[in-house]
Amino acid sequence: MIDLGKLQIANQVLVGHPLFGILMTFACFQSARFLFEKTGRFPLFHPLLVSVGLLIFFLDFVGLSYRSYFDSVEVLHWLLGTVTVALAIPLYESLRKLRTMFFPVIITVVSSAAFAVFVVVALARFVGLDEQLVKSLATKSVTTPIAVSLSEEIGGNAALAALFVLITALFAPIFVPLLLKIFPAKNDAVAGIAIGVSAHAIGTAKALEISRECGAFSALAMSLMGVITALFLPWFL
Amino acid sequence: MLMGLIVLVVFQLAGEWLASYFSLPLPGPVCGLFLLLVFLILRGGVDSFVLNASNKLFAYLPMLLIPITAGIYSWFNFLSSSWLEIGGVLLLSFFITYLFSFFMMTLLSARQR
Repeated sequence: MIDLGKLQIANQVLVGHPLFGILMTFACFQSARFLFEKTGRFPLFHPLLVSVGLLIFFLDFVGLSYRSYFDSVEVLHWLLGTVTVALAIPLYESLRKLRTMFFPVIITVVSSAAFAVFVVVALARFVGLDEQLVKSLATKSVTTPIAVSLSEEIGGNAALAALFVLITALFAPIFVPLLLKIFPAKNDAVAGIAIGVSAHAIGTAKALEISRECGAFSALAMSLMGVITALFLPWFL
Repeated sequence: MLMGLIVLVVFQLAGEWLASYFSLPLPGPVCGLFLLLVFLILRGGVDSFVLNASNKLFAYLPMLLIPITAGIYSWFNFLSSSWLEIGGVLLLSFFITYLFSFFMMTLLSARQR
């Protein structure tokens, strides 16, 4: 005979254990990555999107609040900051390789960083979105690890910021082939920079399919875009 | 792996410390990124153990983003009421930003040849 009282207590101990949240995160990510590979890397099955969906479903199912889930996996969130620091490495390596196109690249990325923020903020205010939302949208062209901490810095919401970055990046595999058909790029540097500026990491994966050079320029544009936006955005918003 | 991780975390914490001490309007990790970049430039190269650790971390980047992104849980009602405006703003600004950088880069790289 099962003792219902004891069962309930044991279940609470299980769900309340800090490793439970970590296990859920690992398991959701592993399943999402499996699905992504099985569907031939179909963009809408991006591992982050699917794992967040799965995780929210499980949180609801076991009755764990987001707050207590987050507390239990906070160490993973700190490691996100470590990845942000590590972005210096690809940035350093691509800057070192960049010989001929130095000024065009720097000028284009700096002005695009300012322009991207201006456009999204202006559009968001135009359709009447509230200020916290505007601030969460402002970082949508910045690679996610930087966007998350930057959003907290300027008073946006980090979760929304991460979601908006992800949605923006998902536009790349859908629309970039079409854009390149209408406006053919003069060389891979042009395509790479435009993709990296507008669609960061997922865009860079797309750019790598075009050519290695295109991917390298996209990766450079993505990391430059992130650090430049981080430098000026807190002064303006 | 561990040695590289130690180096990265040292730079991360140094960044946090610097941002707080000088009250910089910069996230600590971004400050750490700049410190590491300056260090790499001065050192003139990347040590293989740091490179290894960072490549392993990059492979798990989407997973490290799960905790914070799951926070959209509390925004579901809100998102379902204004998804059209938000989606429109994101899509339109994606196209405008792409075209802006595309034509600017086309123009500037033509001038250099």
